[in-house]
Amino acid sequence: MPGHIVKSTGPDPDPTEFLYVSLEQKRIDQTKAYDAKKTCWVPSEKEGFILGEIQGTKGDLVSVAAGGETKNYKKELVQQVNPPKFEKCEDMSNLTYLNEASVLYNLKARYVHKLIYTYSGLFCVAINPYKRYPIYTERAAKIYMGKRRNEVPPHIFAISDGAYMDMLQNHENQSMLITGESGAGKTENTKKVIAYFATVGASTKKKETDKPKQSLEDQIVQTNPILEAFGNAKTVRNDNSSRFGKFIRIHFGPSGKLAGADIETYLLEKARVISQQTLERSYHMFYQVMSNHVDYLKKMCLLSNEIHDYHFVSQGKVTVDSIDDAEEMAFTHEAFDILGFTSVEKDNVYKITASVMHFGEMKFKQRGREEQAEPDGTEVGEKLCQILSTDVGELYKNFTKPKIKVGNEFVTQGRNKDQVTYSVGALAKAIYDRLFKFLVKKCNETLETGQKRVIFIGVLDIAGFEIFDFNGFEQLCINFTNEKLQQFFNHHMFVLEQEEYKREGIQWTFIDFGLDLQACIELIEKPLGILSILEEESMFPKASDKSFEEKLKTNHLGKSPNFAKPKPAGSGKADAHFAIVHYAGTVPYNLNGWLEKNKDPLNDTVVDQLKKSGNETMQEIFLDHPGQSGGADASAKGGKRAKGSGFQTVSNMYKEQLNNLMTTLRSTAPHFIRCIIPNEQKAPGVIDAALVMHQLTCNGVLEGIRICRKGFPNRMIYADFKHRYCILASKQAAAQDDEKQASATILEVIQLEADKFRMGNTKVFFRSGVLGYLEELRDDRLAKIITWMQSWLRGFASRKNYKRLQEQRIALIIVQRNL
Amino acid sequence: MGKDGELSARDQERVKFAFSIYDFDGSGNMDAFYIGECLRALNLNPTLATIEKLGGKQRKKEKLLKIEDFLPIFATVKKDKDAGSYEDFVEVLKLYDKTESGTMMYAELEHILQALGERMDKPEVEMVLSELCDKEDEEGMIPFEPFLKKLCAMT
Repeated sequence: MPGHIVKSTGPDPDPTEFLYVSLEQKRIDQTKAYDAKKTCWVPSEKEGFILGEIQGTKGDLVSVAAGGETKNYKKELVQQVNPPKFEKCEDMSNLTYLNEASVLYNLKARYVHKLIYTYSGLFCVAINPYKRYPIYTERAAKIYMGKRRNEVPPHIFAISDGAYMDMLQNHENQSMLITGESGAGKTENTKKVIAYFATVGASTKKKETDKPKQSLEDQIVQTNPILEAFGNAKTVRNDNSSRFGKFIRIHFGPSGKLAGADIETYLLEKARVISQQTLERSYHMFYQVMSNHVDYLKKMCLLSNEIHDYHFVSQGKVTVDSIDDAEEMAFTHEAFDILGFTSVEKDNVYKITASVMHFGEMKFKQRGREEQAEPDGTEVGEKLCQILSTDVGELYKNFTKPKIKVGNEFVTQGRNKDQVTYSVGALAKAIYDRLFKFLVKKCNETLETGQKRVIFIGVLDIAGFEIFDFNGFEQLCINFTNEKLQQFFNHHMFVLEQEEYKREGIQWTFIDFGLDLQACIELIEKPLGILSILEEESMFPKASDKSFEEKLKTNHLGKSPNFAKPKPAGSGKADAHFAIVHYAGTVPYNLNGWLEKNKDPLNDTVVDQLKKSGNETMQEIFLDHPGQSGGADASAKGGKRAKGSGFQTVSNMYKEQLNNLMTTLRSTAPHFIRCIIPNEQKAPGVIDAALVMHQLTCNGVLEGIRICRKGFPNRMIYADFKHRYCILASKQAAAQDDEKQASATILEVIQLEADKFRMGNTKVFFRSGVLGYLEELRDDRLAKIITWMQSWLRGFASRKNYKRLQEQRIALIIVQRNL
Repeated sequence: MGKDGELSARDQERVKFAFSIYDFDGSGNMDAFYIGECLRALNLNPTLATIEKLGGKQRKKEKLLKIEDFLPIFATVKKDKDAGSYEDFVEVLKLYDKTESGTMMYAELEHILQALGERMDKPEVEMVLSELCDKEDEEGMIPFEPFLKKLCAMT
């Protein structure tokens, strides 16, 4: 649902129960049945993992009673359960048993208790609540302002505040990397992050000026209705799915006050403009235009009252239950004003939107037996040309008989009906895509305040790994981006770990985890890699899908370990041509149509006509398109460009954008947020185990944990260690003044093996699982002492009773004597 | 106590007297249900596990003991030195002293006694703590050392 921020009146509701585990709940959690030697996780088809009790072990088989039956499991399938101390743990990297079952269990336990945020080391994991929790109010924000991460419960605000503080203290640019599947809540979390920065960085002078001029904070927030109207659509999973990636930079001035912002967008899904699945819908804007909220609109755009008159946008759903298009239109219409669009510009944008719908209705027929298309009625073209202020005769002529350049001359080329229909679709997609980019550019102009920009926090909101039944060029792009982002994360984590070990004076050499992903990245981006072969083939006139496939296989099959033969697809599924071994899994790709998609050809003759149309916005959106290649005015726009500059392939542009993004990110201190979609029914509090596990694999949470396990994942400062574990050797530890010495003594008394821990300067480091063992010892010792205490208390009660019995006896004797 | 675990004459007297108190009908028998009570009456603090091991019963009328049966039980428990101390108890309650001020939450003390070890039930806990603990302050805290001192002074 598009989440417009509606300012509520009255005090903010109490967020406590959505952030903290209640004391009462903690008590319940601490008393859960647990036996370190018997309690275990075993795989279950439905639940992912279920709790079981080990009955016995025979060789490699473990007999476990779980879910009402006793079965034998292979040893490696049986995973250890964390002691009650770790129940609903705020940071999963503190778990002593870092296994998949425990990670899933912890996330689930928190999620069903309305705690949607959990840390996993450097990651902040956010699970879509499918409900509005009052945790983004000003009252909630106050909990986090100026606090360290470990002082407050997990929250995206804690991460945001951390970034803001780091920025101020270290004078370093920051970035927030928000990824996840569609429907996981990336965009919602992005909005909260931006709102938070807008609050902490708001200029304090605001109150005195009552001018109607919009504040920058509001303007940043107001770019959302526009971006969402034009860039979001209903998909099967998500009613308000962003169909593009974005990187928003929030700039701050010298004193940490908001100074402006800019937005960069990535890869809008263009195909949706002209085709939709049965249960999906095209971009919201089309339906907003049709909603009658702005009364003159349909008349101006010559639109009918029937959305089904426009088949480009009515192949699937045309309404969405959770969205009121008229209401959304009100927000969009107003947002245009706030962002400073003139009414002419606004109308132009609406007209161009409508033109996309009209284009879909242009009809052509084949003339006789010739391979030549001709208009089948010109009514639609007339409407189009009226709203775009251009000539209708030209339009049809340009579509059916475009001019192409042969040698140094232009000749007209006859096009058949299919070719024309294809080029109309391509044009509609291009117009919409360019309109979107234009809107982003306009937003950026508004957010350019002229104030001094010193430092920024960037927020990246981008789709996560995609492994579908059918994976095409788009999936390769998004997956490659994620592979790069994961490498960035791994490397960052490695650097931080190294630094910590160095600070603590611990001898331990890590390998750079980022290198784990290098082979896959090289396979895609290096010269002779997949993208450069695609590039080459796109330039080569005679290339075909087949030749592209062969070239890939000759170069990589059997030579690059990350390039694999795809498994044969099941019946009814499209076959894949090759597979790539990504860190998140092996993904089969189908390369049909990649060359065409990559070239993304447009009918330049029509483009030229539109560039000269009376709709200024239309002129503007095609400004950077060269039009007819080698046209008379081409030399006018900077002859400096290399030859073929007008022809930039999609993959080329994408690579350039990605490289720029990575360069920017590398210059920042990153913060990582991973959004998770809990189930596909949009049901609050329900975890679909398989769905979540898949995401934990894809988004690198499990990868992060894998890295953790290699070193010493659990660490405690000496004071904390001594405090918690001194009962294991209370007398010996009490004899030591120094906390480090006391800790060493405790470890000595319990005879922990030397490789299981390291003594740093301020902290003691443990290998995975060791804390669980210590907890076990501690629990045993604690239970023993408490049992004694209870025995003493029972003794106290009994003696009181005994005294009473004694008095009764004496009284009885006296009575008897007196009788 | 005399050598080799032999009970002193004074101990024997005390045990006999306590036994007679739990010999309600004067038949020279004590119900095994009262073994724990009787040991505690004699200033010992056996755990429930120990009592059970030595023949204590959770229900009445399952078994009867004579004084000759009971004397060795008393001797065994008295000999056992692994029974906890004031220092042990202080160490444990310190774990719950979050502010390191010698205080802990009264509710937490109630809770651990009901949830850990040989669990006590609520009325049982309330009865003993009401006599041994200081009043909670406004934040629900009590100092734990006075409580433990009282508890340990009883024996």
